Amino acid sequence: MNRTRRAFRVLRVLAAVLVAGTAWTAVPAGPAVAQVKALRVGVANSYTGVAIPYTIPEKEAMLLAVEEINAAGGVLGRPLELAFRDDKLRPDLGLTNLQELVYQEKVELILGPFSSGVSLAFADWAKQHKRLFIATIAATHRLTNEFWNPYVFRVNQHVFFTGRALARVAAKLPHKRYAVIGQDYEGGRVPWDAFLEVLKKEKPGVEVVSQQFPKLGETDFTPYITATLAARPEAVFVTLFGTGFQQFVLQAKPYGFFDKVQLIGPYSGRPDDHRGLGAEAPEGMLLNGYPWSADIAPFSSPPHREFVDKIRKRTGNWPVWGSITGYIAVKAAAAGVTKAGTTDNEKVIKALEKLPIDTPLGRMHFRDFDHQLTIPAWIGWSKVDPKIGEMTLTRIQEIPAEQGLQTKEEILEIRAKAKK
Amino acid sequence: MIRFLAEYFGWLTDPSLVLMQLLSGIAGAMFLFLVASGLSLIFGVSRIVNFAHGSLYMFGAYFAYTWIRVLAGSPGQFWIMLILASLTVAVMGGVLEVIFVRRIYRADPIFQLLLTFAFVLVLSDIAKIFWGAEGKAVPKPGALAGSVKIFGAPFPTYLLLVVAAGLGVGLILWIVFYRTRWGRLVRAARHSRDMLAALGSDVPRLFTEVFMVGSGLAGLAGALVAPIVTAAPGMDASIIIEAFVVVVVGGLGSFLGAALASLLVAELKAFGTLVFPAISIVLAYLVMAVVLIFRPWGLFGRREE
Repeated sequence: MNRTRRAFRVLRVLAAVLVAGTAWTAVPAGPAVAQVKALRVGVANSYTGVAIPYTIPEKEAMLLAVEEINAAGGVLGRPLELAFRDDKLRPDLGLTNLQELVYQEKVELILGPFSSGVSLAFADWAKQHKRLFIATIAATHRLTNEFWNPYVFRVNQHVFFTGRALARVAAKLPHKRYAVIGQDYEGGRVPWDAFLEVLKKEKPGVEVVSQQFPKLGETDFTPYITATLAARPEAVFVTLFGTGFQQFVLQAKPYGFFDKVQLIGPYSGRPDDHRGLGAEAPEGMLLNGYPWSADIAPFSSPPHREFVDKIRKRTGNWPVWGSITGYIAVKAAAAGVTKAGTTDNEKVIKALEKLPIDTPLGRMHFRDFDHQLTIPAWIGWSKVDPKIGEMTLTRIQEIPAEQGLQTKEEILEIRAKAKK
Repeated sequence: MIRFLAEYFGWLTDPSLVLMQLLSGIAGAMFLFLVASGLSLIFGVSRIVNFAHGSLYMFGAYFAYTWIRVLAGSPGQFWIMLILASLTVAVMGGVLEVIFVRRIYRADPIFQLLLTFAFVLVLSDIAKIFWGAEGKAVPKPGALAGSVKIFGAPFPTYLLLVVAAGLGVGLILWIVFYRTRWGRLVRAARHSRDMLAALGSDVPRLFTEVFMVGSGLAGLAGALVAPIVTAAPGMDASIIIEAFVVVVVGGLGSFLGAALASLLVAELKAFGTLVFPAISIVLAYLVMAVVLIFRPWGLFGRREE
């Protein structure tokens, strides 16, 4: 056969596979064992690339919650069962997964997604199909603000909350020349906008000297690091997360990045982002995070300590932030159905709006006008703890949700503006 | 006009920045070259487009993590690790070739693609089972942790090693292919495997060896990159796309093409971030599209009748 033509046929097929790219790592559903019809819950999430440090531990925590619920008799007498799907951080694939979960897997509730970009697509789908979903990690505030509808719930703090909390601390620091490095998508860009908006209000004279947004999935950050340093910023806001953040740190260190600039980040205080670095994690970064080993409430509270031990026993590792969001999402879903007495999504929504949600980090609730869980944020300065061999935060400030989230009036105004 | 130039090309007035971008581009090119040359070598001889080449690269990084732990404390552990990790991946490639790949050399390309794509799925799950979901950090040797000044521009010492390794491997490959009997056989196999077999060469064995060498190169690249990216799931998918861009631009089967296209793609990224940060990520794909339109056999590929 003509070899060149054959080679290009191969390349064409290859391109087609890359574009179609379905079922890269479909995660199988757990086995059904009960006679009573199981209550199936779909987890539409990302189990690819940068998301993995969050979502694989999150999956374990979800399965832990399911085991606990089933050991206590299930939900409305029915055993809970999870079906997982991977969207590879792609909104289009996420929507396909939702269709499959609902019409083939017959799930009655949906948890996820991880990606902010995917979550906005979900909001629209949920409204059309009258199906609620509880977003776990997806952190764009637009999901619960202008893109919100009653079928949208969310566990994680959103980035306006964490961005504002960081901006208030940053405003007291001397830095005026700012730069940003983040992945090129909703979750990489929106936190920066939120942070900058608040920072500029609180501290006049702030100047943006460099903005770098490498593509999602980039692993070589060296040219972005050198270009950023060349702009001579005093502080750099970094929205890289997961394995992306780890790679960035390893590549930035030899340039003396962490001595030259103050790093500020909305994600990176979470073990999901920094555990891969172990004791190599830089100190003195200003971060939002999950300092699970901290000796202060709520981390030192018995329910949280117990949660840490359970995760440790199950996975052989300490928890990450994804463990918290996954565990809460399953427990909240079960509580909502129990309270409603049915899986009818409209009734579950009403139940969830009124329920107190007990979590390892204390009692919280979903606000009735944006369905955002009132989970606090913890801001602090990174420091390696030799006892656990990884980074944690010191000088931690807990920001209660009421201080960090926008008020009902503010949100209604944002939604009215977006309508115009 | 002047304002336009100042806005987009003002960086040209800062020679140390230009140098820094140039150097970081060269280092990036070395990783691409190691991966793409193995991919290109395997394709050149066996005509298999090995989709799983990125997976072998990922395993190189994971084996780097495992070997460095096994070797902990022994002198020169990092260097021994580099060799062992490459060899382990080479053996892995050999096993894949003997058990699976050699059965499909004459099959339709679509089946070859399906098989190697299946490897990607299976290998990525195997990696998750053995090493877990979190990134695994591989420590650099202490002496290479800092940076050196090159004409006043700081450059990570470790990347200097990477550049040296890339050049060294390139040189060794050239010697092997153009100065040894084995290299002559490989070049002959690229031309016509049937003729080579008719002349009494053990062609199946040669194919296995080539697959192992290609895999070993991917393993070496993975082991070298591990200290600066952590070994983590997803490495496979991100590298394979860039490696394909490189071999398409350079020409499938051409070493020189792989080398120069690696440099082109990496420097485009490095300088693209300065000139057009917003679109730097598509530049490499644009180049690939242009090459495919005007020179579909690649810049250095041979146009075959």
